[in-house]
Amino acid sequence: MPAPSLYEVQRLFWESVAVQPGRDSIAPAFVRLVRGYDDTDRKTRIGVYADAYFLRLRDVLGEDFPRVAALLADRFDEVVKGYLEAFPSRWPSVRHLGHALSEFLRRRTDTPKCLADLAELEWARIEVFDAPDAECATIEDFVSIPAEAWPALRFSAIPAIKILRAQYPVHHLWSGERSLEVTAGETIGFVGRTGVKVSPPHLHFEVRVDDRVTNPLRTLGDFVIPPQATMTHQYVLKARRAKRRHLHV
Amino acid sequence: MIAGGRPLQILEKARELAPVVLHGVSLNIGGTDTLREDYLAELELLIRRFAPAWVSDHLCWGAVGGRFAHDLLPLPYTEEAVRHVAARIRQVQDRLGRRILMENVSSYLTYSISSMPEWVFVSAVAEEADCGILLDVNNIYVSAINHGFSPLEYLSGIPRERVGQIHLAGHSSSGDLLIDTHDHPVPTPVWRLYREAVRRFGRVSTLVEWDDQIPPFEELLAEANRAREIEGEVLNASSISL
Repeated sequence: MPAPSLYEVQRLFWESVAVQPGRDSIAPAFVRLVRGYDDTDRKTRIGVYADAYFLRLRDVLGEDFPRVAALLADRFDEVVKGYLEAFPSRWPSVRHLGHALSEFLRRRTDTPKCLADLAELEWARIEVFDAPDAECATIEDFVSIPAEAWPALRFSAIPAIKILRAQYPVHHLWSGERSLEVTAGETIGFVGRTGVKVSPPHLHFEVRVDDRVTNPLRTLGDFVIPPQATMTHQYVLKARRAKRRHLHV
Repeated sequence: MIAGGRPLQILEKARELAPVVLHGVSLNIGGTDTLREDYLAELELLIRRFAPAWVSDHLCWGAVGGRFAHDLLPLPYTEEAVRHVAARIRQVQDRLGRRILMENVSSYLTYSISSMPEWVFVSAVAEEADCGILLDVNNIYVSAINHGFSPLEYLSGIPRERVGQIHLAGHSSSGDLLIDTHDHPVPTPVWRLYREAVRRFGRVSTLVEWDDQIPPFEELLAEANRAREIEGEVLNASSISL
């Protein structure tokens, strides 16, 4: 039998240590390629690389996604194994390893959906810190702009700005203020006048069951004030009455 | 190899105070995928920005089929591998317009198809590629224990004029194997081997690597001073004997 090519050696190596990370999946053809006293010795040697592959990349993901790792707790290793199988690293720098963790979590049906949003936030933090440096405009810059130039001016964001759209309160999950579960009586948000002041203070929330949007009146029952009894509803009625009066004048 | 942020700023500051060298881990010089042009382009930008005294990477492979292991994986020591790796080093040197240094890695397995000892392989690649050698004395020791060769024979097989830098580090053990972890002080046998290396290669820029569980600065400094002391002792002794 001719000696395997360099490519063949490396393909077998990869198959034995990285295709099924964290699992014993050493290719018999690779064991024969390794020097050792016996097969146990050969497999121990290959195992050093297999263990190192999984542990090193798990640590990288754990550092890049500390809150996702903390919330997954015992299940983090299993998620990492699945992720490395689905998205092996394709860049020379390990910095890019976690680029698709959010996508991977979104596809899974057995982990909480909010973790995909949280992973997106944690990944954005990395991208923001590594973004190209840029000079921010200063007061002096503004002062030096002639008045006639102002109408045509537009703001542009520095490259480190990232805007995320999340369906879950990921900032609270990230800061550790909230866990994955909401218990009866827990405050889920505060109302106040922070936006455009056309309606009274109110809170938007959504109840999902198995990721399906449901009618909160049905799911939460007596915990919820019926829509007709809310201040918003009273406000809408008042506005309608005022409009009618206005039309009558 | 990132666009901006703190690490580059820190490197800028360091560069103002002292010369820097660039030491890579991802060149995949022993791989069979084509060399990554995007990586080389970024490396070239970094070289232009920081004007390093030299550029080095590892004599190993780390990716196959476009997938990266982020590890320094061992090559089989064959004629095919010598030709393959040397041609790629030449390609990189032509691309960067400078000679690079290749570091010997520590390993936990060797291949039944290898036809030469590691030091013959390292020397043959360096000769054929006309590159420098970054000699990691700890890696020699770790591999010598793991594979049962003589570290002194290794040293005497390395061409004197090609060694551009020496690395020292600590390691840990796992069962019968030594693992290159860079998280311990340099152990006595590695200091002893370093003494032999200085005897053979003379005054060579030396770096103590410590990447994990980093101790207080004074301890790091003491390790570096130890290396200076050994170098001084060896070089003074040899000048007296002349």
